[in-house]
Amino acid sequence: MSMHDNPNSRKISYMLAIREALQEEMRRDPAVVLFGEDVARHGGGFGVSKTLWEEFGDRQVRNTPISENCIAGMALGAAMTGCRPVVEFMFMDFAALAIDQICNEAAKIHYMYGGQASAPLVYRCPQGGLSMKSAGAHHSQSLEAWFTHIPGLKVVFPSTPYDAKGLLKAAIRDPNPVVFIEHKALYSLEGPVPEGEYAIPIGEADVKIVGNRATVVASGYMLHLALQAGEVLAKEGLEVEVIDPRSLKPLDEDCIFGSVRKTHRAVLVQEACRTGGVAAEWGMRIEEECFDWLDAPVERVAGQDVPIPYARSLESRVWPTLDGIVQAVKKVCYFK
Amino acid sequence: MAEEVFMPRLTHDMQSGRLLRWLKQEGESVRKGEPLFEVETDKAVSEVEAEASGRLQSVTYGQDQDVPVGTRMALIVGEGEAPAAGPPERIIITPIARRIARDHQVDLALLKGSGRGGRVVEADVHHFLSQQEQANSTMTVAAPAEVEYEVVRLSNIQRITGQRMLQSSQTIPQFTLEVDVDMNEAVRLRQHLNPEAKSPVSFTALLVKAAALALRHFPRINATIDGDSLQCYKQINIGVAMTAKNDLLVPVIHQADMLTLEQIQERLDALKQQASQGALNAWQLSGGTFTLSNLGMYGIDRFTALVNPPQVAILATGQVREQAWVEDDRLVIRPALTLRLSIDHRALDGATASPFLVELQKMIENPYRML
Amino acid sequence: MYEIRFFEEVAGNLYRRGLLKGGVHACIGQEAAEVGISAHLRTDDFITSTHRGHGHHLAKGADPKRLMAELLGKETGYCKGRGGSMHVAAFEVGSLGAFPIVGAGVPSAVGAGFSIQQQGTDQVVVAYFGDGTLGQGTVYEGMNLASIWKLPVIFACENNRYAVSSRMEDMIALKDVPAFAASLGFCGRRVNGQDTLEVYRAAEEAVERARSGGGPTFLFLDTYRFEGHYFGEPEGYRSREEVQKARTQIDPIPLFRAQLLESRVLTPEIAQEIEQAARAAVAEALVFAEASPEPDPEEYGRYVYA
Repeated sequence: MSMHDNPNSRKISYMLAIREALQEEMRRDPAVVLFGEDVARHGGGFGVSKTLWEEFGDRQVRNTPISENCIAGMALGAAMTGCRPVVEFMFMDFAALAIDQICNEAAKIHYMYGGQASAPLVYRCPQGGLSMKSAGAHHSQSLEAWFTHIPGLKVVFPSTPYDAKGLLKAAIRDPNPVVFIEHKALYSLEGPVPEGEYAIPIGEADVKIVGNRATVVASGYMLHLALQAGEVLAKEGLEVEVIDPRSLKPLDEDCIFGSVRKTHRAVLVQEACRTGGVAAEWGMRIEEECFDWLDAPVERVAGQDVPIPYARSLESRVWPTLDGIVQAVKKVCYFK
Repeated sequence: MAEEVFMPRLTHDMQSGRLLRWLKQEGESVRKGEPLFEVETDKAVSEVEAEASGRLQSVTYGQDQDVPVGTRMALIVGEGEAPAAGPPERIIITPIARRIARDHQVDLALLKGSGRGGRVVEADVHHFLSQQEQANSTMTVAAPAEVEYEVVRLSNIQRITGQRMLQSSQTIPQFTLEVDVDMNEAVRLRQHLNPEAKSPVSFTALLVKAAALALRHFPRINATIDGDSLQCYKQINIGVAMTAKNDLLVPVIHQADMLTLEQIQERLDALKQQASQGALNAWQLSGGTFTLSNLGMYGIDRFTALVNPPQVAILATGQVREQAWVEDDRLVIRPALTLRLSIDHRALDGATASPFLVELQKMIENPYRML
Repeated sequence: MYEIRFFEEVAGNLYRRGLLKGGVHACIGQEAAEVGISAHLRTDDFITSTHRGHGHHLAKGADPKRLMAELLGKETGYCKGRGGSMHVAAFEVGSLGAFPIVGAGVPSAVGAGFSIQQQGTDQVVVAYFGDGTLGQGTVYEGMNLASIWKLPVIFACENNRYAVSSRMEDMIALKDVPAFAASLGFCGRRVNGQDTLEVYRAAEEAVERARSGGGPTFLFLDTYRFEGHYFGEPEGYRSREEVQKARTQIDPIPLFRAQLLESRVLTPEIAQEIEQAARAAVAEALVFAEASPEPDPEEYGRYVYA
């Protein structure tokens, strides 16, 4: 089931979808608590948690001081003793302050303690550029690769309102620590979201467009660029298959490999800067499992390897573009 | 000695140019000084001339592609020279091409690569295989000596088709099932859809969609046979028989079950167009898992088609015609269509194939389910 | 206390024989500081511990057999051999685990405090850490949070004077514990960590305060470690004389034993029995641990995800 299966659903924004997920889970289970800077009356840095404090009060929605590392660790302690915390970082960039608690502690608790405890936690991280524009180097990064590298963490990254609500519910219910990445540029994007209860399993990708000439894999804002590229390319007779992984860890390999074995060509797109990004991991796995089906080398479209600059002229040069994706697809399709 | 055709530096600070289109096709002769391709830079659109005479080969960039300055895009090969080949001691071939060659037991050394440095790509292997089939077929012409006759050479495609039909009738134990379909609702649906649709939905499109949906429940029919096992495909690719310039071609609509009726009609129109221009490529002609042959437009009521090997089934239909039906002891007149399904008895028998045909019939009789 | 002392001595012995791998950090000399606090804790109270955590765990009621097995990396250890000395945990007795990254346990302790407050019980949490940890931001972040939310957390700093080789006075600016805590809105006490009864009384007050919703307390316990930072460390940063002096003059166990005998709470015979029972328990733990199997190598991937 995916967003394009239900044309009759009501349409709500990505932000509202996330809020609904939080609200429904907090109603369902009073152990679910939201921690973050300004999440209570103010409703969060971007407004995601508006109205939640009015409904649930201090018991389930708590403003915290600016102590990212301590908050991430406090959530861990609470998770080990009966709560199901959701931590909101104002920007993914600030999660860097909490790397010890997320990656050294929360991720490893279940393993190091031989299964004595688990950490049912969600770390919500708004990331990405291309929205606020000119937000600069510390408010625009895409850092999913840091977390996909750590054993014990799960990482999800929805691109549509439908996926956002379904995945956040699944993340909250998961007994493991989950890094839930939200793309800031998508907060106002509207899409069909059914009324009623549903969740999306973690580890399941979604084929957003069915095609046969090349496989394009993209997340977040890049997914929407890839969809646009798909339309442009279809006019030229190149029908690409666009896959939204939805979960970055665990990755739905069956879906991606099945597609590449059908199309024989892969274009992997990430907003993050090129080196060491998730596309490198996808590409390597494709090489490992689909080598015999490739008719062209795997192609990667990524941001430039620079801190994100402030000036508009510089910033726009740094991000992947629609044309960049189109060119990459043509390169693999016409490869000889 | 082959001359390289490369992206030239047309302005001082140009890093790359967009190749808008080639003015000559691969394999065509070019003369030195003739316009060869068009390039767009941020300043202007320019025509670039050929720097040598010969034949244009090994074209590795297509229209609307960005090419860095200095990159080779094609070769001009002197007349009588062989196209550039890779270093003899190593065959450069893409993994999928290697795999297909291996599956068909093709000696890699026989493959001619159209890619850079003689690289063999998937299309090259398909090309080789189809040529091989032509070479394998033989033709005899016999005529009574004393009567005058005109020699009509069969085209390559006609020969290959004939060969395959001979193989089909000789080696496949085929049997046929038939039903009549009440087309009342289907006719209504078309009338309802077509005034608004971009491409008016034909009965063929309806049949393609119905067959594709029905095949979802009958994987054994969406299959090919090889020795004593069936390959039941996960994708449903419907080949649609069509004639262009006296040649029978069967281009394929891939994953037909996932497309809407309008999309199927658009594909049919595009394929017909390309077929009539002789412009169907190897990919469009391959991958079929089931075939539909509709002779209704020729005034035929019903006919039996030969199974298209290695597939295990083929659906033959005729025209929609007014027919008398018996309903509640009365005679009513409604449009009807006869479906004949030919089946390879090694894969299915009457009892296992009939439910599919009945399902298909029901689907066409209640066509709103297909939307 | 004897149990801790003997346990640590056995661990040291195993280390020197090459049977204990990795870094082992003994708390010999600090038993009073740990036992004095834990005496007030119930099984359902929580603690967070550090790399020097065997004492915290035994004082909280952990089974020495399973603890020893964990040190030897056996399947029967508390963490099934996955944690080792530095990452022990015993959730069944309320230990949320040893956090060897300095200061990393404090936020978890605060989180447990939040849970307790949310569930409305009278449980408490003790966050153990050392003097060196006062250089780490998490301590201050944790104290700040515990204070503004009035959480039932006892911040127990065992000042054993050295952070590896660095003297506390050189590294830590904090001078006046009660004033410091008061400026953050809660109570702080500086305690002689070698005097078991003084620790006991200070802890009693802190635990009572936490249980009744009075919020956090900062206990700063002056103690001393007799062994190096880890077993096998060449202790170039302090003199042999200093260590000898400590061993003879401020060993908490003989001091406490003498106190109890003098006030006739214990008789020499009972004291002897206690000592022997502890020795026997540790010996039994060693036998159990040595006889236990190692984890199956093919199970290396188990427990990554819950």
